[in-house]
Amino acid sequence: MRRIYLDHGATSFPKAPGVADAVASFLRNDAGNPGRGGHRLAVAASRAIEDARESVAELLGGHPERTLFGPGSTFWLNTLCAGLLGPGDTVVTSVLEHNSVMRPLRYLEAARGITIVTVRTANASGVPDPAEVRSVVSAARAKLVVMTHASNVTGAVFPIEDIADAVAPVPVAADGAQTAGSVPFDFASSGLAAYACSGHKGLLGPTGTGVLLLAPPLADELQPLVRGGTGSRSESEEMPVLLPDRLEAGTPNGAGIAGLGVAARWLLARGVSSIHQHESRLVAALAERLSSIPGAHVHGWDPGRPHTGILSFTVDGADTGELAAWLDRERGIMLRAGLHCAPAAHRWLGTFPSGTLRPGLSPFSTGADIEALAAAVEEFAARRRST
Amino acid sequence: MTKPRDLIIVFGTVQRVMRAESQARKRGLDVDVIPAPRSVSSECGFVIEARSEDASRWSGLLQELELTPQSVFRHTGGGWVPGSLETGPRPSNRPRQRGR
Repeated sequence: MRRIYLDHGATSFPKAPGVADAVASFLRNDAGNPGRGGHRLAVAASRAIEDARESVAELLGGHPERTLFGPGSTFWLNTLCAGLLGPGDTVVTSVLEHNSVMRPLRYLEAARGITIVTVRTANASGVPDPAEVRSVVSAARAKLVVMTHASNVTGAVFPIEDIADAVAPVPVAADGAQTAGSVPFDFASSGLAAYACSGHKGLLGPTGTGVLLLAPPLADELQPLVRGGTGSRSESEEMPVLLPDRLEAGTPNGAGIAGLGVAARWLLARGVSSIHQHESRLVAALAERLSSIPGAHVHGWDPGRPHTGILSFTVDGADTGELAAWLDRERGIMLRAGLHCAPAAHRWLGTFPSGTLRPGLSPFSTGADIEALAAAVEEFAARRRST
Repeated sequence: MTKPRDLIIVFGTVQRVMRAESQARKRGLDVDVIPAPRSVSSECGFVIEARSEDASRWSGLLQELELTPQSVFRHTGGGWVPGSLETGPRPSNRPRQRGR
C-alpha cells in the first residue's frame, strides 16, 4: 500500500532534502556546546547555529540578532504572553486561536488578572477584518494583540500585516506556526512586533525547533520566560541584555537548528511563493472535490480568501477518529482528526466537540495524493449512506 | 613563515562574533575565531582573530553590518594591548571573566 502523508499541519514529512544529513553531521562532527568554552568543537557548533540563524533570518525577513531559536512556537508564544502581559492588561485575540495562544492567555487571566477580548467577526470564516480588530482594540484599550497568521483548522490566512497597520501603535504578535515557509511573508515590512513559528512544519526542519522574530522596541523590552546560562557575561547572575542571549538561556538544540538552517536554505532556493502557489492550487482542488461528495462538508472554506495547504472536513454519520483510522489502515493515508488543539476554532465553526478531519499539504504533495484521499472519502461516504 | 594574526576584535555575543567571522570570510579576510585570551576582556568567550593590516577593511565591514565591537586589541611588545581599528593603543578596559 502506498503511504500518503497528509498531516503537514502537525509536522512536515519528509523534511527538506539535506535536513537529516545535517542533523547527523552535527552530531557526528560539530556537537560541542556553542558559546561555552572556546575549543574547536564549541566554535564549530556556534558556527552551525549562527549560519542557521542567518539563513532563517533571510528567509523570514528577520534581523539576525533578533531572530531567536527555541524549542517551538509554543515556547515563544508563552514567552510573549508572559513577558508582556501583567495585572490589569487587556489582550485582543481571534476566535480561531490554537491552544498555544489560548492556554497561556487563560493561565494569565487566572494568575495575573489579565482581560482577554476576542474579535467575533461579522463573517463566518472567523478571520477578522483589520477595521474590526482596530475597533475592538480601541474599545478595550488593549496593550497587545496576539493573533494567528493562519487558522490551523481551516487554513484561512489572516491579513496580519493590515491588522498590524490598523492597530498601530499597539503591538501585534503573530502565531506563524501554519504560515512560516508556506505563505510569502517578510517580517521586516510586516509591521508586526513579533512573529513566532515552528521550525518543523512549513519550515521543513526537525521537531524541537522554533523561531521568534522581534522588532524594536519590543525586542529591547521582552523579558525571558526561562533564565540560565548563556555562555556570555558569566560573571553576572543577571541575564545578559543583548539578544539573542537574553532570550536563549540553556544549551540550544544544535542538531535541530543545524537541520533547520539547511531547510531554510532549501526553501530560499525553492521559493516560498512557488510553494504557496503549489499548495493553494492543490488545496483548492481538494476542497472542490470533497465538496462534491454527497455527505461530505468542508468547514470554514472561503475560496475568496488566501489559504494555507490545510482544510477541515467531516462526513455525515462518520466519527472523525474512526474515518481517520480507516484512511490510515485501509488506504495508507495519514491525516489528523479531532479538535487540533483549537477548541475555540471548532466552537466557532460549529464542529465542537466532534471535530473534523484535517488534511495538510506540503511542497511534496501531489495531485495523485489528494485524488487518493478524495476517492477514499467518497468510498467511505457511500458505504455510510448505504448502511 | 606566515606572520601571526595580531588583531583581536571583541563582541558581546557569540552571534555577533560568528556573524562578523562569516561575513569577513566571504570578503576574503584572513580570520579565525579563538577563545578569548585571559588578558583580553570578553563577555562571550570567543573573539575574532585577524590581521592589523586589514584593520581598515574590518572597520568598513563592521560599519556595513552595524556591528560595534566591544573592544579591540593589538599584539604589541609580546602582549595584547587595547587599541582600535582606526588608531593605535588606548587605555584598557577592566578584564572580565570568560563565559563557561
